[in-house]
Amino acid sequence: MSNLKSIAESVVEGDDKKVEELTKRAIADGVGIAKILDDGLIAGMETIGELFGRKEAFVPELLLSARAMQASMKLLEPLLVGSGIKPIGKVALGTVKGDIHNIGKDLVGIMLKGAGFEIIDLGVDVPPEKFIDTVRAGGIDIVGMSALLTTSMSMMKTTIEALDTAGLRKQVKIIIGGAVVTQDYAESIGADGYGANAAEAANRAKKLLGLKGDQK
Amino acid sequence: MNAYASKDRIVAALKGQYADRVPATVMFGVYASKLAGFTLPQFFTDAKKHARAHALACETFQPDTITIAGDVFLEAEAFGAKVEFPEDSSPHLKTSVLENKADLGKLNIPDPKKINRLCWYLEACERSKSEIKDVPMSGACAGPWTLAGNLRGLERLILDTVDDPDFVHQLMRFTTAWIKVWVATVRDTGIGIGMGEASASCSVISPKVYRTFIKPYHEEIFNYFKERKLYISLHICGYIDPIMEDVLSTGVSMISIDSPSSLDKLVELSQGKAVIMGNVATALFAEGTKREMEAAVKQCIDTAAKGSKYILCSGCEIPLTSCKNNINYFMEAANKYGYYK
Repeated sequence: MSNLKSIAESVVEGDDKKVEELTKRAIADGVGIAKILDDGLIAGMETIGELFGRKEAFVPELLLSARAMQASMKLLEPLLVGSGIKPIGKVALGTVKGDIHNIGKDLVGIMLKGAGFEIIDLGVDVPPEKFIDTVRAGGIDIVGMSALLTTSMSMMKTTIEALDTAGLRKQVKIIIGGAVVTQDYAESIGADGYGANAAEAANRAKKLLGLKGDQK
Repeated sequence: MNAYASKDRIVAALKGQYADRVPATVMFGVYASKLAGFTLPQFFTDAKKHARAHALACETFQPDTITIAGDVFLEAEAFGAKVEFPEDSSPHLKTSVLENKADLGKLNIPDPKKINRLCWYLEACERSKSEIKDVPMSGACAGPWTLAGNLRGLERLILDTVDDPDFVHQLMRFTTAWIKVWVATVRDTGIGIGMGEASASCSVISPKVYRTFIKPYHEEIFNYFKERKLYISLHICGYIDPIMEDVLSTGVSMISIDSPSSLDKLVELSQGKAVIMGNVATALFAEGTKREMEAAVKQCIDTAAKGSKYILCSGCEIPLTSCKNNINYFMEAANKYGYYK
């Protein structure tokens, strides 16, 4: 257990080398992958997410923590494939059209992956049609949209309306986030969820699918 | 008719004096192109059209000052970054020129007048100056951190602050040296200039990153130009409350903030030292009601106008989807609530 706690702490500190080292040790000790993920990586990302929510940590710290988590995920992913653990849901993730900022989207993607989701990363500057085509192709449970700019935020509303017009809105849950986005805005444009930070986004995503969320 | 001209209002605000009312403006950005019926690629490559669009925005809405916005990747493109001009959104950066840190050694400060798109911008400023009468105007350039992020890739640059701080300082020294050249060149067209640091808000960086890697260079730039009697403004997008005191202590003479930041806090901290611009939420220009716009304008004026040194403004560039009515509501509200008592 103490090893898992150290993994979590090192994720919070953003120390990728230490997280990698501790993960190797945990695997060698026969600790279960789900345990390393839940009690190590995700626990650490949730703590940094909470600090972020309280404005005691900022995007650079989140980036470092995410990098540390990724260093561990690289070791865990091959084992996950062989373990028979199935993804808990499929998320199509993109930064909306007119906005090319990838950091927030990537952080959310990493957290969702860690939480057991399969991610279809649509990239940045994603037009509504691309979201529509992806949902239409099937298998998507959640659409996640990100915007950093106030100037591109309205594209989230446009995309939701476009999904509605295409008759696909009811097929998926929609979660949005980004520096300028608020809970009120999410409600006003008819999104199903809002994540103030990457850790919260992963919890909300689980909750939207009726899985455990908003708890450690 | 108003007895006071726009210039009187702006000069009074800069000096901490009072004209008839609070000066008011909107950062029109790409909306100016839509208003004039130009495509965005035309707006961003044809100097004549760029100037005409801004002139039309002035004629239509009568702001007290106007920013002749280029695009945020203009300078990165001058250093070799590939920029794309989509029909329906602002230009995009396609490549970073410093994916490899060692390439910084190969970059040189160019002569701005030998770079096509910089010439386009200079011509747009010159044309605006001759076409727009009686409205003080300002150009815009990317700040040293924003340009550094556009050259290196912002995520990589943020990680560099931990992995290779010396490289970040080296890059910041380079972008700072460039800004000294570029600001002076834009200033030669006869208009003022503002520096935009879209990537320096706490929506992107931390106070520690600001203090260690950005603030020293902001100080250097402001001091350099102050010695030359040139005052440049600073706009930072997003949320900057945790770094407001630091930003004010750089010696900045005018600061423009976005709606996520607290106007109240800035007024309190500035104590009349810097002229403040801001910070009506840009979303209101696209989707707000008349009542919401009036309330937002009134709140800004009530918060910041009392001691002069304030220009009512949108928090950032307004969206392409903004509507004429909402900009009219903004200017009407400025006229309704902005008269000094």
